[in-house]
Amino acid sequence: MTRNKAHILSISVFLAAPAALAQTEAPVAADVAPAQPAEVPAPQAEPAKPSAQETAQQEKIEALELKVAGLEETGAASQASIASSSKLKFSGFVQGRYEWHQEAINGIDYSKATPAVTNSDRFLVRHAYLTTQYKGTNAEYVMQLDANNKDGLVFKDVYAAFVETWTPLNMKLSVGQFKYPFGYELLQSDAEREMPERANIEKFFFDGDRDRGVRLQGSYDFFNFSVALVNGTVFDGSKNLAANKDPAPYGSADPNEFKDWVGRLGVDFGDIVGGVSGYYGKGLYIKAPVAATATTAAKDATPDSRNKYRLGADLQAYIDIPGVGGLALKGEVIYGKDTARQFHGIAADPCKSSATFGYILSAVQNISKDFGLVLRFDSKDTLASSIADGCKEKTDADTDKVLTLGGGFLYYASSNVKATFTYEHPTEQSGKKVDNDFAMAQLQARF
Amino acid sequence: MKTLSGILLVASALAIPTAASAGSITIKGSDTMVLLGQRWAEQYMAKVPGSSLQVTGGGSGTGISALINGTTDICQASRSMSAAEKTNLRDRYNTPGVEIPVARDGLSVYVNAANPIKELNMDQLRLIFTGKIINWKEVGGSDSKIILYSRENSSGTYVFFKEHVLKNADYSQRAQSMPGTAAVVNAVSKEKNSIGYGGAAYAKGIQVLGIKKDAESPAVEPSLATVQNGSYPLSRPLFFYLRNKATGDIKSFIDWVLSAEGQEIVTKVGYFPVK
Repeated sequence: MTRNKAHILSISVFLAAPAALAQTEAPVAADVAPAQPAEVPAPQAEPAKPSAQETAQQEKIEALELKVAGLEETGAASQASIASSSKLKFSGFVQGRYEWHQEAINGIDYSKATPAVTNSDRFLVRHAYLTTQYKGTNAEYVMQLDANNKDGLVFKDVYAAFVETWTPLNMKLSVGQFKYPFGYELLQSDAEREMPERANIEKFFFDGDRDRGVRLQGSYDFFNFSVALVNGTVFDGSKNLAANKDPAPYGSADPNEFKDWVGRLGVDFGDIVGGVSGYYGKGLYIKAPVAATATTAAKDATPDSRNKYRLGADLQAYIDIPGVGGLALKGEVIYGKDTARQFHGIAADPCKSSATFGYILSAVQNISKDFGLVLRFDSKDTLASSIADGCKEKTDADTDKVLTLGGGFLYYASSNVKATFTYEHPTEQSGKKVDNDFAMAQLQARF
Repeated sequence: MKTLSGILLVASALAIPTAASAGSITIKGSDTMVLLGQRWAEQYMAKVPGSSLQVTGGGSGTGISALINGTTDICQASRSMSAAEKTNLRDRYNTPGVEIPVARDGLSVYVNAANPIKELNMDQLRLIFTGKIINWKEVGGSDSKIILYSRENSSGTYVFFKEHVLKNADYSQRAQSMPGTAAVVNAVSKEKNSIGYGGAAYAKGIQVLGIKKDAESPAVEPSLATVQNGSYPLSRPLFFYLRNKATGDIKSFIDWVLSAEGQEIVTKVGYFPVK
């Protein structure tokens, strides 16, 4: 803008130069003209009429001044447009992966009389996310697309937020779809997490990570909070019904008649971070139909209704090891209880009541700024004591504890590229023990 | 085993470029501090033979991004890191980062030398820079349109001014973004009806306004005493940010910056010592 103005002023000066030259030359011409007699009074000086050339120059200057004014307006508009664009941010990442499974869902086909290995190692695209975010005045817009979902192109985080700026609480009210504000690992980005998948206990309680609802977040000094009211029962009702091949498993009941509350209260001291989380809700569940196998009969979709409680606590410590790099020690515990209840004609089934406990312990050591090592140990155990005597599930709960030890190597080739190599060894309780180790090599590129 | 060998081979190949990047200390960030950083680097390299420091600007936001991305050793910033930036640094390096105040600045508000206005209060500044006051006569000056000069949004000075003066409101759309404080000073010195802001060290050839906390408070000008005792409403610390605790050459340099010799350069450049 300033440069444009300078250019135009330069042009103006250039155009005006002949006129100025003419003015300086005029006295020379006067010197040549014969002098008037001294006694004759000089006529009253009249303002010299501008020559046609001067008038034309003046008009040009005025026109240029108008153009400058116009350019100033355009410049201001352009600047506003640029400022607005700078609030719009695009980001995303892709994770390409090679996996090897000692035994996996796709690795061994148990439907055969003699279980056969079908596919124990494979290449896959694990995540392909594109996020658009706009932070405007008191507003935030987020739309995250997952281009690599079994349901096709799906939304992940999608919400509209109102951001207040007049209290010290930095509050943000979001309506849409977002992660459950619970614990630590659940809220950690897939791009940031050191291990390839979430721990078993997270997947058990928060499969899908997200729900739809309204969320209020805020912080003051080292305190922060996030609380949300969400649908709680089904992520997408119509899709869930279709998946169960039952047009009306809930009968006339509204599966989202009751909304669920979830929230986390945290502290952040920089090197020590922690929080407590809670979840309370009621809802209907549809147990997916099970196809017949060589040894078991088919089961229909079965609905049941439960009260849900989950409690969690998390703590992270960040320690700078001189000459080596940062060391993060992280721990998280989650306890959850489901209590079967009567709901719209569906009788309470005490055998559906259960309590599950799990924990996650992990350590991540940076080695210089380019390398890292990770170690994670996690547990998930449905507690037999929580299931009523006489229920078939009680026996299963005695042997369902899974402990998983995993570790790996991280390499940050640049600020945009991360390579991860991990190995995990799950250990099941007696009676359920299987060989199902899992190795993975992944390359992630993000922008 | 064959797979593991392959993976390690790939990792080794990817690691080679990193080893080659070791060498001089890179310092990046605040445009307000770039002159100060350069003076420090010149003096230190003259004092310590064999040392090598590279100083570049780009703005505090750019410097903090570079620190998180691993492309600078030291970030110079004229504002504190935001909570989101601290989280990003911690997520990536598993450390909370290290913040070291290295100098103080009295963020100055400049007007043209011919402007009769000598002082403004914080509320007037907010209304001027958000575009609610557009004529000097509304604050006791001549009947002339106010020309606003601001900074780019990667600038820490821009963010500090927005947070502390504009109370996080948006700048007026008529504010022209300048690439550095020197450019703001230059523009204000040439445009009679303009107003801008920037570091105290750059306030040459223009008039620095006294700032009043509110309409009833006395006007205070930035000086060693008013900046250090906090009575100047726009005093602020200037920082170095590191990923990890300083060791080796970086520690030696920072120790020197905080020494009497390093702080003397702060005064010479036009800022104020940290203590």
